[in-house]
Amino acid sequence: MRNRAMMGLLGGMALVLIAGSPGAASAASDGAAALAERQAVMWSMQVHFNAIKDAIGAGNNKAVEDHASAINGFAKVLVNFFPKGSGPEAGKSRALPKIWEEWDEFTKRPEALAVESEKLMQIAKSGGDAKAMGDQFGALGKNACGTCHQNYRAPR
Amino acid sequence: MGAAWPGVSSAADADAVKRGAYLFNAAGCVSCHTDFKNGGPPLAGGRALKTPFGTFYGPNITPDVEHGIGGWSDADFVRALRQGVAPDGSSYFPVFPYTSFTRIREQDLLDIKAYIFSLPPSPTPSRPHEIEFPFGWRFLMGAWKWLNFEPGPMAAAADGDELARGAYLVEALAHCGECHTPRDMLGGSDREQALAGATEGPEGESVPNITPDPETGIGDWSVQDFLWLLKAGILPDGDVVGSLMGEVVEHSTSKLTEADQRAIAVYLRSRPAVRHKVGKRP
Repeated sequence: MRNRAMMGLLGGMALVLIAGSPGAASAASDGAAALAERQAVMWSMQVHFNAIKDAIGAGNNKAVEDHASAINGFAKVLVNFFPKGSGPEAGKSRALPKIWEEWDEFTKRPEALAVESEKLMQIAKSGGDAKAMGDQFGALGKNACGTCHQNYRAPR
Repeated sequence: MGAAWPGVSSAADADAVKRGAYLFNAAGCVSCHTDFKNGGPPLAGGRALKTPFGTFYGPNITPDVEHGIGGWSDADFVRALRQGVAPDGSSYFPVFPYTSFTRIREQDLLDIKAYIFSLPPSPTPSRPHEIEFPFGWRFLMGAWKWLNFEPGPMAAAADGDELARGAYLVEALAHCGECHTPRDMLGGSDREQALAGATEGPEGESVPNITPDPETGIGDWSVQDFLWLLKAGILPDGDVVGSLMGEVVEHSTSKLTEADQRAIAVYLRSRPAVRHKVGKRP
């Protein structure tokens, strides 16, 4: 019982935190703003991706680990950037309505992103070579980003 | 068990099956012949492909005798891929990319068949295509072929000839041009704009120009850029592809050796640049 109350309290605090963050607050009230924010964070992921490419090429394990860590953090908040009403109805977006139709399924997706980015962090941290980091970076792109884009993003 | 595994009795030797598995991935067969979205059995058909000419469903190509290709001889298989003609003499619609597969060398075709025949059969009936008038008239395919089809395999390449290997992968096995080359009103490839992209490709997607034009194509891509794309779907701008190219990466290019991925890059970079801006769909 106490645990449950504690969980409820923590959950409530988390909600307050999320609602207080610019992402979700305006999301509820303004689909277009939420869409713009989502596209901005997705763009920042692309920047981290390119930084990892460069870092693998340069053999800079620390940078690979740090950028993988940023992606890992993103996995935890990703679905917060998909509030209802922020799809194509809110502006130019390739997000498919399926996201909100099968929300429970969709919200499981970032798990792969968390797992694959964590693996990349560990490989970089433990001194993995370019091949090992490259293979895991590939798995991250293909199994995490790629499968979600295949299922939930419309073609260009 | 013998009846359930019709093809395997014909001494499909293990090496051929192994080589065939690799070529089968290079040719991306599974993408169209498996209904992943609905959890269909491997190669038992059913994947819908929407095109301007209608919606096509990849047929069952498991070695099931009744619903698949279990009853096909080597000659039947070679003729289907080389000439686009079914064992009953009817012509395939060119959504089946025999226009590219015709360039696959005979031994490679037979290895692919050996691999397919080593897989379990599935008694799943193939789904009929839904074709827009008037493209459904199969007898017109003869005229279409006369206009648009040059049958025959590519010449063998010397070992270590990276450019020739890349050409074979791009033009024959991986059949890149089937989506990346624009089509005319009758669905024939526009050879002058080979690989220069298409505004209206399969599934209504716009397909990028992959000739080395610096502005409208991939002129500014390094070999390494290609490797990231073909291995993992990662584009030079850090985005990760979804949709049809995502499927191609998942089922085909990511399974190639790095030497073959590199050969594809080298070949594509060597081709003439075609300036062709592909329109974005609204």
